[in-house]
Amino acid sequence: MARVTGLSVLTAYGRGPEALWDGLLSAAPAATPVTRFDTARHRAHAACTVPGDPDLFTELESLVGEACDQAGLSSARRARTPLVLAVHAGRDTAARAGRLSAACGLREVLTVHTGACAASATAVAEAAHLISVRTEERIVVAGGSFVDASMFAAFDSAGVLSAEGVARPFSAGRDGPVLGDGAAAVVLERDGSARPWAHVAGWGNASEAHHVCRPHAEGVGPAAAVAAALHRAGIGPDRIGYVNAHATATPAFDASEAAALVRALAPYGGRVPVSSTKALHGHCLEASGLVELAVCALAFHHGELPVNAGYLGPDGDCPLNLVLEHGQPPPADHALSLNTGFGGVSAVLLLAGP
Amino acid sequence: MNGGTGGAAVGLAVHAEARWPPPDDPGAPLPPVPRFEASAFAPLLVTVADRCLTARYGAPPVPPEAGRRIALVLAAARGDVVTQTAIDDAVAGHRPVPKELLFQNVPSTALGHVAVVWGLTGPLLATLCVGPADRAVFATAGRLVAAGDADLVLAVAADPTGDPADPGTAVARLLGPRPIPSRSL
Repeated sequence: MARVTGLSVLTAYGRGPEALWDGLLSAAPAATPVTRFDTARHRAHAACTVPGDPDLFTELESLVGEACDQAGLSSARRARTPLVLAVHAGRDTAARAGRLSAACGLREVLTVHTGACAASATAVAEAAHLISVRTEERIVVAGGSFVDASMFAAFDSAGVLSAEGVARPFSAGRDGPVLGDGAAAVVLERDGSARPWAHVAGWGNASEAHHVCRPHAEGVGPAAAVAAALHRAGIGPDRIGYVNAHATATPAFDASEAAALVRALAPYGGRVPVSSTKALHGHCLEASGLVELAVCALAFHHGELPVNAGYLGPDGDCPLNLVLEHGQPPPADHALSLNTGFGGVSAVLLLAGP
Repeated sequence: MNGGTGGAAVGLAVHAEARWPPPDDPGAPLPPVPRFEASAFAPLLVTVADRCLTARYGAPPVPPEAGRRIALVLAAARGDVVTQTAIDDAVAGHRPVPKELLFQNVPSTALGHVAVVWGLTGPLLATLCVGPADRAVFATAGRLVAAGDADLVLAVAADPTGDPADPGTAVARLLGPRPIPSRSL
């Protein structure tokens, strides 16, 4: 198993894991009216953003440095360590990835994952695999997505975003996500002296092959990815004490994901505690898997599950045991972090506590 | 870890291959793909993938038991620059963004389209390559096969230009061990 020995994260709650945890405990969404660009022509007007208009790769350089410092990596060790990245695919992204790796003193970029909202989870899975089979001793995984005018306009035009600016995952009355800034970096190691935040015990990835941007009602894609992660880790669904769901508060996708969890975790699917923390930190797109890995690690660290905020009442299409109250400890020692993305891709990380 | 060869290096054979532009007709126009009209990015990937799978399996879809064991991997030199530019231009010009551009601007949707048509339900990985695209797709495909996640990998290495008048080049290969495991024939 790969050990998570360094973890840094930036969300609208601020910089660092504890800022994220404080935000999660507050149960107050980080959404505010957008000031980074003009939203007057749009239907939605809120997002979870950090102050100003930061450059993603500049922030990633800082986050990689923080994660490496936390893991106690010397310059010599960094020079032997590759980078796996998860970001949106742009014109010059590959070149910027190479410069990021060099600026961080890392060996090289292995892969840049661009598979939509599943990109970060897929990146972590690649790193965990290469470490588990001893191809690499350690790998830095980083990813990020900052809300910009073009991204916001494209989501708004598609009618996807919550018009009221409140994401209500799995809830009656949900009307879509609120976008969020997110960036994070982790150090995964086979060995090491630092006490790990968590272990990556398994992972799964599956294509749903149903529709490029609509879910199968029974959630066959995410269910297959969860099953693959459990199989790889060699554990049953009784060992899962928490699911950090992808749930973006989109009516059809949340219902499909709920069906997937009920099916893949049977007979425990309706009992395993589930929350989608996107209601709080926003939907961080390509960064989702890393930000939500941090959420799971913090839940292990503090012995408490983050709540599913924004909840108005039950939806019969989402028969899950949602975490609605503070103070609930994880009932078992493993957690699933699930992400899905356009194209019908599902990616799952199965995390074990330290 | 369960399954596969535990990640040992896997020598991959090329079971089918298709290129764009086609070597025997380099001036051929790229076939359109429904719902992907704004840019040649997705049609480039879909066309080489279709031709590669057709060469191996004939008409779609593949049998479900084989589809479950076929992964899709993309390594592209860049993203869909034409679609991104169309979104940026609409925003700069205070015009509505055509709603289909939201999903067209994500590389995984082109692979997802291929998966829907051919019934491929193995892992789906969209990546950018920092070095040569061929090296990247062989490395990722080898990893997926070694891990036991797939028997075969539809691997697309692409160099889309970002020029609306020139889709660029791509090669799709069906990669896997030789012989192909019987469940994926």
